[in-house]
Amino acid sequence: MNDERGVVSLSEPERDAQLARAIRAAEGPPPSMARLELLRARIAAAAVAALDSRRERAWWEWMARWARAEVSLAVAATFLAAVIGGATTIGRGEIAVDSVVGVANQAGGVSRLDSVATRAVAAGSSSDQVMNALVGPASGEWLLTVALRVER
Amino acid sequence: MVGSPASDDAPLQDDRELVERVKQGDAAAYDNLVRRHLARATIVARRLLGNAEDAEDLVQEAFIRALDRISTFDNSRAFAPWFFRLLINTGINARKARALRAAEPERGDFPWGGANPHELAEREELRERFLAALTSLPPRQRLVVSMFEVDGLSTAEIAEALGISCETVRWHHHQARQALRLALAAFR
Repeated sequence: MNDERGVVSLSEPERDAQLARAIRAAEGPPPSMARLELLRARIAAAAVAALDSRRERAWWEWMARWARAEVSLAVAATFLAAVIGGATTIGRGEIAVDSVVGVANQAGGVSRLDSVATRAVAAGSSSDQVMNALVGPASGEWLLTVALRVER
Repeated sequence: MVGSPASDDAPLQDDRELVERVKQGDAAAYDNLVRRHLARATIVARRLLGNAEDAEDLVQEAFIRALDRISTFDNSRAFAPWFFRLLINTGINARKARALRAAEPERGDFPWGGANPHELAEREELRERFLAALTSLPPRQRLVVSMFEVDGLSTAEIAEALGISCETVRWHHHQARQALRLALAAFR
């Protein structure tokens, strides 16, 4: 407590009710509700631009956060698609060419596809045999063939 | 209703939630935050600057500054002391930097004196003397004594709001109370 001799004590001072009343009286009444409402509206109007830019910034920050994750996912997905899709396409492509070339050789060195198909049909081959000659067999043997070729 | 939910009886959690939303640019949350602290902010600003118009300008400036700096505010702490420290520092700088409007005469019901002409005159003299003593206090001393005696804040709460130590608050309080008691002494 602060005592009358002018010593500042270390503990919480006691409150002086009479002094509080005098200060309250000297300060006058608190601001009216109407005045506070006007002031609130003034502050709200002054804050519009700052709030707008804060909203925009928050949106961009959100976008940037997600963009980072999205780009990583997209890269990973593209890579996977390239690996899986690429292997499939390459394998089929090689088999198809091999088969066609094989049939073409049997047909006397003619390499045109329509000639191969025509001869195969004329020779009484089934539709499966013709398809195998053109785009490769439906079985997984082509994969084995490719693997063995890579080994070599 | 503006200012009626005083900051001290509003849950701290609500302020935190509002601040978080204000950081995202939520205008309704900002308005809510302003409503919560407006009444007390206006009283504190008036104590600092002495008249209502300057006080309102200061309150507006403090709320806009608070919005500008809200990203740097650590939301694990209470909003009110941070905001009032900003308000008070801005007010003290404003006092130094520019001429303020003339202080308006404040009229309240002074608690001493009787009803006869002699007592009324005495009361008027006391009012003048007390007002002179109050307005001549340094800004921090005036704030400390008012926040402690009128608003009922503890020295620790005042210390946090003013950004000074509890010891310094007690010293300011002691100095202010001595000066004000002296002004009242003849009439007590």
